[in-house]
Amino acid sequence: MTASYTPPSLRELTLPARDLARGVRHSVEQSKRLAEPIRQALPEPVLSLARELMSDFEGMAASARGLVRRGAGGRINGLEEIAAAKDPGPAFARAAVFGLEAALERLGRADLMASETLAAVAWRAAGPGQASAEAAARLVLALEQGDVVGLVPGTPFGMGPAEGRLVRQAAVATMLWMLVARETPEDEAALLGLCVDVVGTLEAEAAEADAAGLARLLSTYAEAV
Amino acid sequence: MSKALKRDDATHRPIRKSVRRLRWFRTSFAEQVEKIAAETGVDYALDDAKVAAAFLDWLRAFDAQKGGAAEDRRAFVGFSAGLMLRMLLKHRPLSATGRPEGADMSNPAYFWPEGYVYVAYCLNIRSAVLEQDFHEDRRVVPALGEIRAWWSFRENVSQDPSLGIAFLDLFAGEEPDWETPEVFQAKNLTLAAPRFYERRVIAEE
Repeated sequence: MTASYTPPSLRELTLPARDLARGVRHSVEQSKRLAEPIRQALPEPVLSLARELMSDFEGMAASARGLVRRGAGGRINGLEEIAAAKDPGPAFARAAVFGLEAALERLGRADLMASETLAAVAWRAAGPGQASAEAAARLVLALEQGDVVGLVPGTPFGMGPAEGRLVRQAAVATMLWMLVARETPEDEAALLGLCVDVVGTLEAEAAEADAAGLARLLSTYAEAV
Repeated sequence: MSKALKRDDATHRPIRKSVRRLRWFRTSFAEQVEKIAAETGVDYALDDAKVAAAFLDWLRAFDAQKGGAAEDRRAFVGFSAGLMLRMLLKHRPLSATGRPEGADMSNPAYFWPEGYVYVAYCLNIRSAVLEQDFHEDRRVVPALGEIRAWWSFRENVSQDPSLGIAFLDLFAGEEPDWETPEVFQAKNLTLAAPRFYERRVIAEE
């Protein structure tokens, strides 16, 4: 008997492409950060060569940013709308990556990147189906356990406990943001910022909570935001 | 008064409910800061993380003390506004980064620019809820402009932010409770006491 083969949907194939573009953008930004102290000490003509190289890299990063932005068009942010969407996995992944990266940037770690592909896998692993606080709590754990957030390739150090705490904080803030009821058109970046600030005040509680604790916390604070 | 406090809120929710949401609190507080900055020429820096911390502390304290009798509702509005002042004084989300040259330091807005914004915001919230729910007119209380009251306010709350609750009553023209300002005193204690015992009996069963 031959195993049946279901080809991946074209929508899902765009996720790895956007992750690749995201990786290029982060790598260029990381390289710039790492090269800056050396660049200042370079003599001519090596300095001119370095400038040209950096300019080429920046062109690549700009193209990558464009590709990521095009993919983010029509993003749905609310968990209720995502759960009701025709294709909830990729919809969740788009919103989750936006949320995680913006949260990490606010927490001072723009060098950490999130994967849309792994976020879609996390959605499946959590098996939610409903837009409840319990589902959001399962998704926090799935984002964490699925290594959806990682270091840019080439970073000269690994993920440590400090990064782990930040990932938990960013994942809780992202799921809180998705749970908040949207009654009027919202400034999504500002709303996410409020969620990051809220989770910042509950860091110890959020860091130690299990699935039930996370669900309680998310339910309480989704009302408060 | 800030725009957010004048309008009926985009969601048509009463102000007493809107204020229990960080989104509304953050926007209305920022509008209050902007308005006072424009009127006084004082420059302010607002720390969003501290705004969130003050709000969440206030919400927890509010939830812990709410649920009294209907006849205490009006007094509880004043108490809740005082609690809010206490949390703003505790977390200090605002910093004055510049005053106009030659500012009159006997004017409370220049004497203590941050405290002035906190008091103005909490009084405005208090008035807006009383106006909306109890149809009460706003009134201007002389203590609000008296620099001696502000000296005392600043000195006392730097040692104990809970006294901010009593000072807000003073600035609102109400009788302050200087002894235990952080505990809401129900108007009718004979009604409050049975409720307390009833809860204990139920909890111990």
